[in-house]
Parts: sequence; structure tokens; C-alpha cells
Amino acid sequence: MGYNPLISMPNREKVERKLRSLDLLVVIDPFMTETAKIADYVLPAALWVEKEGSVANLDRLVKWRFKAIDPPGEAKPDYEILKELAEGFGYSFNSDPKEVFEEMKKVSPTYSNLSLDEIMDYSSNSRYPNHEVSLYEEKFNTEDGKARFIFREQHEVKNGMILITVRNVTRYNTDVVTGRIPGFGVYSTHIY
Amino acid sequence: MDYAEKITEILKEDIENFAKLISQKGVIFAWGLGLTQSSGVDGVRSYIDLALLTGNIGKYGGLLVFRGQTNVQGAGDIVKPNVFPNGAMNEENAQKLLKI
Repeated sequence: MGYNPLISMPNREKVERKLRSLDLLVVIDPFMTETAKIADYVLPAALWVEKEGSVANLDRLVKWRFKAIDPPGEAKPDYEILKELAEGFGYSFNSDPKEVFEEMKKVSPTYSNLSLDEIMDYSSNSRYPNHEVSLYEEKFNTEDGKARFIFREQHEVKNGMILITVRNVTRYNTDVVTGRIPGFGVYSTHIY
Repeated sequence: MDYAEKITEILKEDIENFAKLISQKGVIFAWGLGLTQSSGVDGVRSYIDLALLTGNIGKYGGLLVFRGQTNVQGAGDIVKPNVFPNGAMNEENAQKLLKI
């Protein structure tokens, strides 16, 4: 779902060999990615403006994203695709984003003090767990209030290099979206 | 400290001076894919330990991880490989989830 491992994972040849050896590969994505092109089935997904639901950022702020337009053609929000797939397997899934949010509050207690009204209000401080702007001012969330250290042994670095991915300002992840922008590649032609 | 000096090739005195500096001021510990892709969970935990040890979590300083996608935080709140969304991966929490 919304994932293009054929391009984004290290060791591309191995990834491609594995994906092609699967009995069944189903891709759910708004775009016809490289991974989607080798799939048995591609289920077109809606983009963020074509569906609704909550998102959380690293500041613990939870906000609602409102739907602006209908998805084109046969595209559907992920939650509707999953509901239909689940029904095909004999399970009952809820695909109403507001009801799903209420369910999420029960599943993840961190969210339990947030209301739909406040996360839909863009001026509210809808931070979990209890609307704090900063956490652990006096003590930590442990039995004795003290921090827990998890020490790790640092192994000696061996000779050689560790390659990591890089994000360029004008390009994002596997270029699926940024590659469609007119003028793409004019300012940054190198691929890392 | 001798070991730290050896593997980092940074002088022991410099490491000590830097540790004193960051324990006396509010410091924000930021990181992104460079740390996670090179050192993984161990690297991140060690980094967080350093912030804790130098008194940089709470009122002064803090942790700031740059996340690459809109709802990485939200997805991580619900789905983790080793923890249930309602706590430790044990039978009691599994039964609670089953009821929901």
C-alpha cells in the first residue's frame, strides 16, 4: 500500500527477484509505480485530498484532514479498499473514518483524551496524551518517575562504507510524485 | 572513555568538554535517516540516553526526529513490530484488544 519497494529498497535486483517470485502481488497505490507495473493486481487508491481521517505529527499534535474532492475513476480511499477486501475474506471492517477514529482511541489509549471536535478545530491544542505542550517536566511516565536507560554496546566500526539514502530538495522518495512535476530534473539531475 | 576515543578518533578531553557543554545548556537532539539507516535502533537509543544523561528531556532541550512522511508518527502509534498499540505484547493486552 503506497509503497514502491522495487525502487526504494537496497539491492534492487534481489527485491525484484523476490517480488516476481510471489504467488500473488497486489499493489494499492494512487500511482502506477514501478512495483505496481509488475503486480498481478493494482487497486487504485485515493489521494489525501480525496479522503478524510486523522494524522499525527512528531509534536503529538493530531489533526483531521478533510476531503476536498472525489477520487477519480475507480479509485477509492484505502479504508474502503480494505473493508471490501476484508468482506471478501468473511470479516467485517468499519470504513467510516470518524468511527474508525473512535475505535483507534480504544485501541491506543494515548489517543483516548482527544475528541473529534478538537482535532477538527485547527486552532486547538489537540496534543496527546493530555494536551501537554511539553512532556516530562517533573518526572517520567514510569512507576518511580525516573528515566530508564537502555545501554547498547558500540561495536568497533569495521573498514568499509555504509551507504544511506539522501533526499534532495526537489525530489521525494522514488520520484513517483515529484517526477510528474513539469520541469522535473532541471535543478537536480543526480539520483542517489 | 578510552574505548570511545579509540572508535571515534576524537580526543578524550574533547568528548568530556563537549559532554559538559551539552549538560549545562538546553540542547535539542535532532536526527533523521542518517542515524537510523547507519546505526538503527541501537544508535537512536544511545542518542536518547545521551539526551537523558545530560538532562535535556523535559523543561530544557528535547528530542526532535525528522519524519519523512505526513503520518509516520500516527502509523507508529498504532502499528509497531514489538509492542501492541495498548502496551506490552502480552496475553492481557491481547485480550483487551480482542474485546474491542
